Amino acid sequence: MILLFVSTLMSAQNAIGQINVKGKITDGSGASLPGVSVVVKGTTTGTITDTNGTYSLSGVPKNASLVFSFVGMKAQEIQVNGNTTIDVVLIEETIGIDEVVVVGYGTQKKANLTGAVTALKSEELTKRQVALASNLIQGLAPGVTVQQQSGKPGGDGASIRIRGMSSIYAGQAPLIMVDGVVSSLDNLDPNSIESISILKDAASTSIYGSRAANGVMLVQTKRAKEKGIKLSYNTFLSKQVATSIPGRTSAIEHMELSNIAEQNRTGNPTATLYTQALIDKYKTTAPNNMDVIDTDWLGLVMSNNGIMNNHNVSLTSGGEKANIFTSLSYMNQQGLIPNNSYDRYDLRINPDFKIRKNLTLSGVINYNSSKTITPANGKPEFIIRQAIGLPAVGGGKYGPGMYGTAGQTNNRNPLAMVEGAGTSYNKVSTLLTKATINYKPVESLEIEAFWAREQWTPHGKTFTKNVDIYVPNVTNQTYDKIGQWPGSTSLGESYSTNTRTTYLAQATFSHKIKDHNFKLLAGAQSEEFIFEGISASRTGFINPNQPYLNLGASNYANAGSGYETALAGFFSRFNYNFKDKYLLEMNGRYDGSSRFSQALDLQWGFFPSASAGWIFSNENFFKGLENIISFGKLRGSWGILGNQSLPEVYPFAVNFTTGTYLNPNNGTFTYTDNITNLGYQLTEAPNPYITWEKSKQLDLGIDLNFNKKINVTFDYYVRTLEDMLLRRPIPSYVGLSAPFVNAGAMENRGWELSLNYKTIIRDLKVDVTGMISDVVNKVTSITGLPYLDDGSVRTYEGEALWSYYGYESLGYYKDKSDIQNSPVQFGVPWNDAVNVGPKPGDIKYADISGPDGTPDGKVDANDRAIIGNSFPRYEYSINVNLSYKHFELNLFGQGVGKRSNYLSGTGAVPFASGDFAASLLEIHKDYWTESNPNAAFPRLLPAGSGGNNFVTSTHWIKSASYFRIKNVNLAYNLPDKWFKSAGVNGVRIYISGQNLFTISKAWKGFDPEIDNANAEFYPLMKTYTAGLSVNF
Amino acid sequence: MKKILKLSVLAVLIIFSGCKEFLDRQPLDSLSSETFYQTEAEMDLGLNGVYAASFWVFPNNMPLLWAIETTSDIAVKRVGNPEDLIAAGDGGPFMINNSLTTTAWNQAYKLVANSNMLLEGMQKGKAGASVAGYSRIRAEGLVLRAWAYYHLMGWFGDPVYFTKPLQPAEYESMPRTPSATVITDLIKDLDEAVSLFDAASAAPIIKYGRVNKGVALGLKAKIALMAKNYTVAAAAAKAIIDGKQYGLNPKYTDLFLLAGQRANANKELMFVQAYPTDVLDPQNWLAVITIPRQVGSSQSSHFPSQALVDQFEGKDGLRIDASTVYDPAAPSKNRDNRLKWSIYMQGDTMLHNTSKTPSLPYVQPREKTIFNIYSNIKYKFNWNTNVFDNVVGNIDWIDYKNSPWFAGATGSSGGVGYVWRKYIDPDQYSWETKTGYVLMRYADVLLTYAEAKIEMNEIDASVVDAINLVRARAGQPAVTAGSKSQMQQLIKRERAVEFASEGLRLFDIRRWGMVAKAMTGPVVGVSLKMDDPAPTPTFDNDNIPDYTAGLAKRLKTRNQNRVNSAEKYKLWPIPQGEIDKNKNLVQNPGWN
Repeated sequence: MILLFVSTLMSAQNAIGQINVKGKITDGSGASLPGVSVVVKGTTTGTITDTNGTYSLSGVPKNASLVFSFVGMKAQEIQVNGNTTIDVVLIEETIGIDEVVVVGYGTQKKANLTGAVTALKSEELTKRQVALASNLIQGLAPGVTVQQQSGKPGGDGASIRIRGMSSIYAGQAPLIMVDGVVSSLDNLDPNSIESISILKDAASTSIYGSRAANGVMLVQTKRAKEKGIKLSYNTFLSKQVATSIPGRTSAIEHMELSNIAEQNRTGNPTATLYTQALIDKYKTTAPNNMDVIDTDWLGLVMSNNGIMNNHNVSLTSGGEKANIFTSLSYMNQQGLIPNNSYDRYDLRINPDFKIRKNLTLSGVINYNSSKTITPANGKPEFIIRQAIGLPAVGGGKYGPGMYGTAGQTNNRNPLAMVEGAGTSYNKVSTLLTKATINYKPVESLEIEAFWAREQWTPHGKTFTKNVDIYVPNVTNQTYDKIGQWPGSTSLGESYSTNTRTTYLAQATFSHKIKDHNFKLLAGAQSEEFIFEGISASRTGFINPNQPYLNLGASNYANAGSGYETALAGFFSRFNYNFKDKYLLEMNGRYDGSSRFSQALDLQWGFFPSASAGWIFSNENFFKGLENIISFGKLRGSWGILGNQSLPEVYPFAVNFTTGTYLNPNNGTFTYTDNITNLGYQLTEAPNPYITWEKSKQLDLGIDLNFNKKINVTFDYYVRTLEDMLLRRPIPSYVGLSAPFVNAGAMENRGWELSLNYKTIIRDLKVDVTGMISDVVNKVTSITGLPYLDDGSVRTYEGEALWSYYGYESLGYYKDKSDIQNSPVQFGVPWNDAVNVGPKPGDIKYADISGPDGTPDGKVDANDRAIIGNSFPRYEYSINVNLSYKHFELNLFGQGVGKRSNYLSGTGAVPFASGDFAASLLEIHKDYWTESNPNAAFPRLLPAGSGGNNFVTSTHWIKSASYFRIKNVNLAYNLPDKWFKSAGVNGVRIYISGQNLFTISKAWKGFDPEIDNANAEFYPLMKTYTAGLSVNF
Repeated sequence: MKKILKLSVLAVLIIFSGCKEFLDRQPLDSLSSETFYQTEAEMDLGLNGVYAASFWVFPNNMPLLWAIETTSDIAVKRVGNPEDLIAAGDGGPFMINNSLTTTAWNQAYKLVANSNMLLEGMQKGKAGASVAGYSRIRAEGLVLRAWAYYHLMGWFGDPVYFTKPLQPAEYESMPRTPSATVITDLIKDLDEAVSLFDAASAAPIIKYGRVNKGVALGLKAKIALMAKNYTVAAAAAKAIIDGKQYGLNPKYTDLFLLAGQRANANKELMFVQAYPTDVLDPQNWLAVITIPRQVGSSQSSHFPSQALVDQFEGKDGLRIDASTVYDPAAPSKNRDNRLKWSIYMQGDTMLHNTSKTPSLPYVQPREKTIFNIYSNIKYKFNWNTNVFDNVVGNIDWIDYKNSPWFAGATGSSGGVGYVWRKYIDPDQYSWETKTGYVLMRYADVLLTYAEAKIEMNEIDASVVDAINLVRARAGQPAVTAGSKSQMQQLIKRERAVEFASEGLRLFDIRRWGMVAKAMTGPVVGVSLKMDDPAPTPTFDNDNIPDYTAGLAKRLKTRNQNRVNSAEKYKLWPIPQGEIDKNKNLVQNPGWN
């Protein structure tokens, strides 16, 4: 009865207080704005303006407020006050001015930043559909080099380097904090990322002290902010294919070219390896996998579908006291080769509870479980290299389970390796729990503390099985089984537990006296990491389908290990702001690390920084210029950072360790009476004096906004790295491996420019961002060492880290007299014998030096010099976002202006020997002959007969500069009215493509983004995606 | 406010003091040097580490000393990169950084460093150990260190010599010490080891894979022989012989099979590089690298040479050029038995174990194959029908041309038509073979004794007895005492055939001063045609065959001639990296 009364009363009131409201929305230029959202505040009642920018809403309470909002415009709230027509002019948001960005242990208004920080939001990051989140950053932040080196499922994350290389042997990766806890981007479901702040200069990062030297990335995951319940579902399906892969040669080409190589080697023009009769037979008979074999190794090995699919459901629930964000994702990525995939489940619950008005409890619960599958025998990269390199004349597969020898005497067949020789998997389950308490006893003081614990438990299992190897029996037209490969079955299994526990407590005090704003932050943090692992293996498994250790007959083996590290730090920041014009910030962190000697008191270090900014556009003399330069800020910073991520956990300790035998390194065990006997050895020379690597960084920057449409940010910086760890080689007769010493210094100078232009032209919204940056690396000191050597690369003082070191190529010897008249190469002058000394078509090197530094008429080891490096220069990107009515288009291109890449091994050498008997690639067909004197490759020779053609030289260094359309994404937002009745608020469908198009001068078949050009790689992927997202 | 300040200062102080402990993390899975070597048990663990450092290997699980055999005249290696060629004695510009010599240097010095660490470190725990235990451990450490220096001197000449762990300040300033000084020290060390073994009552045999008093004396004899100090060498060898603790294994082939080694009949094996049978790694892949490619899974790359084959006498006890029973058309017939025990030749039936599981008809899992290099046929035993099938496709074929850079037992860059038989154990899967690599055996003691006595020209009955003991096992007729030069020639032949592939040859030819002669000229092999045998070579006083006469009729496997006549090849170069890091190190003559 009462209920009835109340509802009657309410409807009566509604009838009295409700009106219809209509109006037109325009922008500053007077153009109508379609698609503007109009909502009655505090309700879900609302509509969207039509193509003419008009709207009408019925049943609006007279005393309500309407909220008008549109992307790129400042939202407006207008009291109805009984008006039935409300026209609104929406004003464009001056980009970034009011934006708040996450900085170390806090937030800061973007306008008041004095450091170099790039802030990315989820909208920018979700344009690309990738498996691992590290790839999302590429091209979005100037000065951040993101290089994806592999397309391998589960292993296709990118390496991230902020402002160049920052160390030689210690960690170079930036510190990545997810919700304030050390983590990795690739552990993260891209769907749950809210924002990423990239802190680049010392002022922004020094609050992270001993781990800040490589830059810091702060990732925030999504949390529920708005009231009400929002459910959304996102899915996409991608088809991946290799961006590029070296072309093969056919069986006939292989045989003919082998003969040419043999003729060149022997000097006998009729020498053959394959008889003409055989070649003729191949030419007249179609391949029959019996006596005419033309195996397309790549086609057979890369037979998996490369499909990736992703599903994500997220639920945002907001209320008075409790907000909860929940996200559940599943993704599966198939590789290009069989037995190669990655899948991942991710569940995240981010709750916030308002206990009292000034007391909040919040948390993170994230469970992540991934599984990577690869073939058990051989890395996928090696298998693919074999598929690239093996001759087509080798037998591949003759029937189900019947593999050929691949033309190798050891019967190693890459197809058998991927299909039949067993599977290896690596499962990782991660549970992260975090609880935060936030307390504001008074308005000006905020106290926060959290505890977080992340535990991950990798479990690896590798089960190697035998495959049957067959050879054709031409007489009977059958296949004979000749053996098994690899010959034995084995199972290796490992488990480990990794636990990282973090505590933090901090307080922020803000105060304002007239125009003086002060903010002081102080806090303490500790972190502990504990690793424990065991592994075991056996061989001799009878049943190929039961991979359990108990069933292994022989060779029982097991091992276990453990280590722990701890960090503790005290940090503080002071901000001063006068009239929003003059900005000052000081940071400091006192940091301690367990990696250094406690006995020698080397554990603690202090890392300070200071920065200042001047918003000159707020000065009085700037009045009237707002329409030209609406915002302008100069800023500068300087600070000292540390790097404690040494490759070793206890570099200061002198320890006798145990280790098992690894071919060709003997372990510490001995085998008296054929039984393994534990033994201990001191294997490494210790250095108790080891301490932090230090980095000093100066940054000068300017932020400008023109006409409220164009944003410009420019930074120039100098990073100086000191006390860098070097593994300074000691003579081998010491019998210990070399210790690390703090002896190196290096410098990175660079600049970064980013330009953004945003405008709205009627229904078309345009948002274009262009970026370019450059950094030059120079090693300034490797105290006491002439150089550091790593094969084809060396590090010299005054040169870039790990520069290519070799000869300067002068092209090919033209003829005998050319050889006779050129400096003698490697001590062998012209010789009439066919296989002695250089011959026409061999590479001729420059005599640039001699033992005393001047040319000596001889080409030998003295003529080597720095001939380039693989650092990317002039990295640039362009990102275009267009939106027209219901359509949105994103075009994203990225490139590198200058880079060198060195080709070697299977990539460079026809018939490369080494670990298998290779054929030659399609590119090798462009070899030197008298009629092809400008060929890409020297005269054709069998492997091992190439003389000095394949020593490191400029001949094999090729430009790896490129421009690549990284991403194209076309989305269509289905009209809301279609689904309104079904309770659906928005449906978006999209198609996208990645790495669709590349301009490059790199070797054909070799992707310019990948470093390694010896043809051992897992190709990057060109992907085609279709996706859907639905909001309820 | 003040109170809050005080409290916060206090809080910070508490946190700080807590931090100190929080950051104190010591290694969890290793032992600190401060506390190590306190007990006898720990000394034994440290000694095990020293033994581990004496486990010398070359990549692909090859015993290092076996790989080094290819740097002598009696073996060849498949051509790989230029460095391998040079290691095989072909000369050239890159040898200073050759991986074989560098590996040898590094592994020997790792043994030196670990022995020094033990010998120095264990002193502080002396009180905690029994006299017998301490004596034995110290003795083993002394012998192992001498073992390392013996090889270093043999390979490189004057070593960088130190007997205590080096301090960082010494790392880059150590000079070379004259071998004579080192040898004096080593002989002193070995004498001490002998008396320590006696004090520990540990003589003569300890365990398979360990050194003992016999090894100490044997090593002393070998070091003295290298130094041409024949009196000491003969006396040390005599001490072993007179001790009567060792003898010859009646069955020569048992020495190179795991089961035979473990039985060690008459205790011929004195020191062996032992492999574990309880775990998979390490394995001895000597067989894998030896088995010819006409047999299943194989990687053959190291082969015996013609120069070795022709060292084996005829059954009549005469060198092949003098033998009346030797037939160049049937070279495997009527020869010293050690030839067939050591080398597979054309027509020999081979038994190999290259698979863990049967794969019939040819893999049972053993494979029986008739070694064939003269046609494109593999003679494979068919276990179903019990006859040999003729299977086409033999890449060991002498005319096999399909891939000359990937060669088998013959071919322009592979072997010369022979493969090793020694160490092939058909009872063990070749990829998981656990046969130990013999480092010292009694036959070596006998022949060392004989050589020392011959050099002193004291050719008495004991010398002839020692030689005949070795020959008798092989079924070769006894010799009688002859002139010094006759006996020298005999001992050279006897060592070559007795110890082929046991890693002793390089030191032998260096000691005999015949490197230049033996390692120069074309590398020849079998006769190109079976029905047109090359003539028997002539021999010089040092027993080195000369193939000039029949060169055209022989397989000449390498493109290059061996060119090792230069003086510098008498020693290996010190790895260039060592010279670069230490200005006090002087390179061996000729290698700069």
